[in-house]
Amino acid sequence: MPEEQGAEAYLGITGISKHFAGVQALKEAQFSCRKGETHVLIGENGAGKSTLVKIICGVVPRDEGEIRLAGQQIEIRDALDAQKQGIAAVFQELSLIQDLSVAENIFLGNEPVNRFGRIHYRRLYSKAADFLRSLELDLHPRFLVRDLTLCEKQLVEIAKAVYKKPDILILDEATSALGEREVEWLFRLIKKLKEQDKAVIFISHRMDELHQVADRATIFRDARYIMTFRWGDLKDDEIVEHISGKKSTQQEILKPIGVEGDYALEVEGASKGRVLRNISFRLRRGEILGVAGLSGHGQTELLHSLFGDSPLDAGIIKVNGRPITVYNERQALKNGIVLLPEDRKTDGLILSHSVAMNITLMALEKMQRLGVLVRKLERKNIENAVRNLQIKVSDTALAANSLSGGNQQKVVFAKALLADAKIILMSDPTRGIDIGTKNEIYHLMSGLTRDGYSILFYTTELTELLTLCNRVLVMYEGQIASELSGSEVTEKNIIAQSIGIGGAA
Amino acid sequence: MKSSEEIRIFARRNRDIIIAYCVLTVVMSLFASFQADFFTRYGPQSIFNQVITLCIASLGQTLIILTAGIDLSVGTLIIFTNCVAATIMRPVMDLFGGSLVAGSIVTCIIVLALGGLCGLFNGCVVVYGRLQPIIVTLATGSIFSGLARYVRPSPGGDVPAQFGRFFTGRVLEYIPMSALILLFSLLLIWIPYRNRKYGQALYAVGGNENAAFLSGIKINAVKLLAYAIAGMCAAICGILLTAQTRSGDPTAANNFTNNSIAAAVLGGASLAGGKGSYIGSIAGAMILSLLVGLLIFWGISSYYQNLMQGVILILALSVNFFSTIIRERQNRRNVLKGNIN
Repeated sequence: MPEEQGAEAYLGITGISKHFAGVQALKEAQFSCRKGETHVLIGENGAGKSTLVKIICGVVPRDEGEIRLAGQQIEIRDALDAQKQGIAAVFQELSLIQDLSVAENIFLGNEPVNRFGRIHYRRLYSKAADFLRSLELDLHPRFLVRDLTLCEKQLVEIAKAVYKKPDILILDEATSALGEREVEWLFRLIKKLKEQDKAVIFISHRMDELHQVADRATIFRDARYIMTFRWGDLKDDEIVEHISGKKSTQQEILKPIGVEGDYALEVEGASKGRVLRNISFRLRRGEILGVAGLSGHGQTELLHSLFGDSPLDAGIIKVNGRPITVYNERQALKNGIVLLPEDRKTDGLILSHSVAMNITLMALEKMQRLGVLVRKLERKNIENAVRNLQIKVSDTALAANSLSGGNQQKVVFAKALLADAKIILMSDPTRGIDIGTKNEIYHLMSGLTRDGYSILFYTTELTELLTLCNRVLVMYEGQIASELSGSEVTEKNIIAQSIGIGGAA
Repeated sequence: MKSSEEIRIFARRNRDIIIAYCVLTVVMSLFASFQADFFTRYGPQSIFNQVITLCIASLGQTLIILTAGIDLSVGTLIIFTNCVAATIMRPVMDLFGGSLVAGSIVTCIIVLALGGLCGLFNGCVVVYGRLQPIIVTLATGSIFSGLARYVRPSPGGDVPAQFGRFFTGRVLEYIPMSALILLFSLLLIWIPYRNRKYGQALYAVGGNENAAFLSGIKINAVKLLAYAIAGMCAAICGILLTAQTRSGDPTAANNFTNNSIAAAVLGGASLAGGKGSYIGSIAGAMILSLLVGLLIFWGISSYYQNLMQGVILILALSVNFFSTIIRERQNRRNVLKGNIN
């Protein structure tokens, strides 16, 4: 459904190509957006969206092609240039300075100075306070960024971009670290910007978010432009088809319900400070037990505690009916518990190491004879993992950070599976991953349960719980507000319980 | 008016500096109780003469550490500039018809420029050669040492006594010249630099180079300027050393490299970059210098002085380390509490 070429395109990009060390990141791509619209870019990880954004922002030079702004052909040589042209972006990787304050970060490179070139700190802080208030953000401008939560840091990042008063605001997966309340806040902000006739370019992998904000959309696949369409003209599964490039063969995933009465993991009265309060549940063998709730209500802490990352104050943990103590990660692994951390880039992977080294990291003991690593054994395990999980990598000797997000997450999966732990704690395993890979991961998870694995599954995406879980624990203020099962597992129930207004479920 | 929250945030942000000054107070009190003339006009004079060189050296080191680098060439650059100053002073004076004042000023200017150039050279190799600062300065440190020996094959030089007295003496009977130099280095170098865009950018570049780049900061320029100023600081240090010893000694062993790094870290600088300050480094430098004085008072053999210094440094840093752990725990608790309430 090729879209009518709007004459009033504000930003127009044609014939853009870009190589990175022999990899074609963009090939003759085109894109255009208008003032007063939210234009979403969709495509799998590695389809070229982020590269396009970086070219628009002058961070990455293009090989060929042209950029037009308001009809004029322009050159964007660096970030400062883009800023002058009225383009500001929130990039995927956080770009804040940890040891500077919120205000200093917002004004970085734009500090108010007096006649003598001295930075006017008092004005900087009062302007920042006013600005944050005008955005309805409850952040103290003097706080060090280091002391903020990931979510707050992301808010600062957004504020920093908005402060530049751009005509075009680019948000590259800006919502992945935000909780639901903050996402709502961002959408209100986007609406306000639209009313001011600004253009917003929005990248996200969450369909529900796209439904809320998108006016038009452009799909990229394999570094190529596929199409631009008005949101609403295509049905969800049609979009998925265009993104993945194949007819969607989505089989319904059977919710693994596990074996009644056979519990892989039992937790009784788990407590930890004010964060976790008297938590009890039982995970059946072969089940995917969902953990829900608004972010910050103890879900990640629960998973990390069970893995021994930050031990519990009180409570009993039983594996296969046998009580165990978990004071550190090694004990957890020995007892067959493994964690897939939510932050794959810092906790899940050693990005600068090769894919192969990452995969075997947790299972090196298995691969040695008389204390010496057996390369052949390593290679066999690595090849198996790459094949089983369909990790798209040309050579496992490549560094992990050369992979796309989805493939990186598969490497984390491979690593955890090699650890021979049958209980897998998953913390938001699909964060920032494209729809195609997400589906693969769902099938992988359901396959694992058939092989006798049991999964405790925390995710920030409700739809995933609805797809995969027969039982869901909803957490509120560090407690389990309710345990939903079977037909009770609905979006409405989960939301009601997670904001503390659900009646008896 | 500052709210209590702002004071709390201030304390939090400057925690390392506050700790450093607390330690300094303790060391200073010990020093006062052992040094007989502490409360006379000679007391401050001798203290500031002891600490001034390391303070200035650590100013330069702090700038480099803030860029996430490290400068291993400070020590030999100080020796190099010291040798040059001691060697050219008399000929320069003769050039100005034997005028002590004109000769000294011109000598100082030449040496400062030389130091700045050497620093800039460090910076150029780091920035354009894309090499690790630790390796670059290790190499250039060797070069500076060789140049020092070329300029002054043997210890010596001709430095007028007045030159030495000027820099180590007192002004208006009570104020030590060294204290004034420290004050000027703060007022004329650090504060103007820190409060300008280049100073702010220094923290950004060291804290997250990619983020600084995305914010449109000219990373290369920021780094080059930092290295050049660091070189000039080493030159100031060389001039002060010339005044104190009234000679140039290419074979002198000094601890400026190690101690300036230690001083910066004691003052709260992070070797990972983006964190630290001259205010803190001054405290660090004073602590280290005064400790040596204390050890001498206590009659500890010079063989053990280094050992003691090392032990004390580790103790001081572990105080920092443990308080960081405790604070992070508290923080996490606060953050979680904040989210729940």
